[in-house]
Amino acid sequence: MHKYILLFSVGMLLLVGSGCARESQQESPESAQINLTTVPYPPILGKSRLVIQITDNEGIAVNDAELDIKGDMTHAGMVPILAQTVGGGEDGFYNVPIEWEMGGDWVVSVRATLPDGTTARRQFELRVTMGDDATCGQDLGDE
Amino acid sequence: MSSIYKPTSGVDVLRWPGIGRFLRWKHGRLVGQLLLLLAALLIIYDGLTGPQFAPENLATNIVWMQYRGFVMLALLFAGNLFCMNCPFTLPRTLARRWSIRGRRWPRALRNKWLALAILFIYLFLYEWLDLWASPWLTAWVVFFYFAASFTLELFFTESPFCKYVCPLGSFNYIGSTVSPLQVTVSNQDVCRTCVGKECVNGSRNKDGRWQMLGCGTELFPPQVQSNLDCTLCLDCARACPHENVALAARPLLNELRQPMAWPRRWDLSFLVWVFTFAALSNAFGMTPPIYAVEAWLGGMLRTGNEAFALLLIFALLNVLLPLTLGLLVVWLGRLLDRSREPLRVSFSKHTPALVPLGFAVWFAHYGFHFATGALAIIPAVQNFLIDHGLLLLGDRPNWMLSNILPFSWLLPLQLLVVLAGFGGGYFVLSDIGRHEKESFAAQLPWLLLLIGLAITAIYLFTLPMEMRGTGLIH
Repeated sequence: MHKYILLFSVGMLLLVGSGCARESQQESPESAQINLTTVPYPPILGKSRLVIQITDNEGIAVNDAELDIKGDMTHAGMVPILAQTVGGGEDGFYNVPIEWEMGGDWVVSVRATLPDGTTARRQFELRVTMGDDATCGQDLGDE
Repeated sequence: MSSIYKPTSGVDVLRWPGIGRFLRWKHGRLVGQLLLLLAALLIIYDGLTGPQFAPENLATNIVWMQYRGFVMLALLFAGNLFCMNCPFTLPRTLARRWSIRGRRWPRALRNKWLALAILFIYLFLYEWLDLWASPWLTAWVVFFYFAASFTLELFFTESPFCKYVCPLGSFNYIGSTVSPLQVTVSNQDVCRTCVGKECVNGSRNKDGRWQMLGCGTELFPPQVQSNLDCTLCLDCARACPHENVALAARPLLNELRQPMAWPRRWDLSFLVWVFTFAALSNAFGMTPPIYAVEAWLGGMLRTGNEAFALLLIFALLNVLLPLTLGLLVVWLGRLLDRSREPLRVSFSKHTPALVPLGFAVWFAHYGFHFATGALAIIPAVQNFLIDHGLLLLGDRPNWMLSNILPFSWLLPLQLLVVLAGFGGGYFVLSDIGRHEKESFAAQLPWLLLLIGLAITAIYLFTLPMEMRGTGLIH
């Protein structure tokens, strides 16, 4: 019986330990700060706009970054929203038109490749509503 | 024994070339179980160590998307294939070896009340903890299934986990009553003269060692009238020395239309009612009004505790409402029919009429997710491989792979499924009425109930859907 318990314990250790070798677990220091808001805010169903702000670690606006944006619902299997911007940006702000196709909780992942080739990424959680409580306020969203 | 209901239609899957032989093969079940065991280990591994984001994790994709879709399809077109290939029962073999068993499952628990309570808790936890959105919790759910099955097998002789505990099993048992396949026997006379009854008792070789186990849930094939409690493991077919066990096709909704196919018990009937009402409440949990109800309840009770508010909503929708409506409908039916039969008998003999509609609502809900996201498993696998430095399927996941049906088809299909479920329920109800020689008045409350449930389901599916789950704003 001890043999089986030992085998099971080793198996579990390997199982959890092997996760550390995964690329997604390898953290690298971020080279920039990313903030996000939507217009309107809070986001409502239908056409909308993401406003993404990129600054370097000293708070200086970064233009001409390449942004990869992916919006996912929290349930597996829902079609994501994908968007990409190449270059542009004004005072570090990037406007990205998108369309929310379903209400509920969304996770927007932004991956920025800066002009110097370094990258930064950040996820934002948003609730898309049916539209009763939307304003045009600019409130940069937090994680 | 000759009067026993027997659904043979001439079609016996166990006699089909290839597949029949495979199913009867001693290790036939094991192959399917090992495949699902592999999937279960993958779920635990990726759930615990992978990206904690449902769309990108295999755990959430497999469990809440693939599994549920395939289970509903299997139940509709074949039978209880998940229980047949259930990986949770595999460690039981080990448990049996170490077993300190000898004890039978306590008599007081040999019913569906515990299964019903666990199904309720499971559905509540699913909603409260947003299980679909958490790979980590999903992995633990799978782990607990293994642990529970193993532990119960260690202490008890029969398979109490499958028969009395497992919420998936309870769901599948009810769902499989609409399935077209059922275990039965080819020739009743063979069973009549059979001495060993190996299908139940198991068979041993000349040394007295177990060769094949008998039915884990202790069903005797010639007397099987229902798919309830049948895991479709086909151990009975493998153990039968006369090759007399059949996996036969049966007419549409046949079991539900047979007046004596189900035992007339409160516990079983309530399980069906909860199954049906939970189909609606589960769909309701994905629509905007749930927030309003939660907020209203929280304000009324002056509590910001989401779990408490949700528990109350769940208790109301899944327990109190079916209980009240059930008793009201059966009381009205008896009153209109001037019947004096016991409440339990009247309640349980009509309850099968709810199954087609309950199943249809679950099918429409899970079918929606499956139709919109069946292909999402591909980018999740790509992501998993890339995460391990393997570029076999490319170096970027194709996240746009998702739906297998056009989105514009989904609502009409959902409505069609609900209407088919309603039609099936009405078909069953009419047949019950014909068998029992009931008046139309006696059936009217049941018919109104079916209409009400169908309208509620249609209303829910036409509501805009909202997917919750970040745990952000509740």
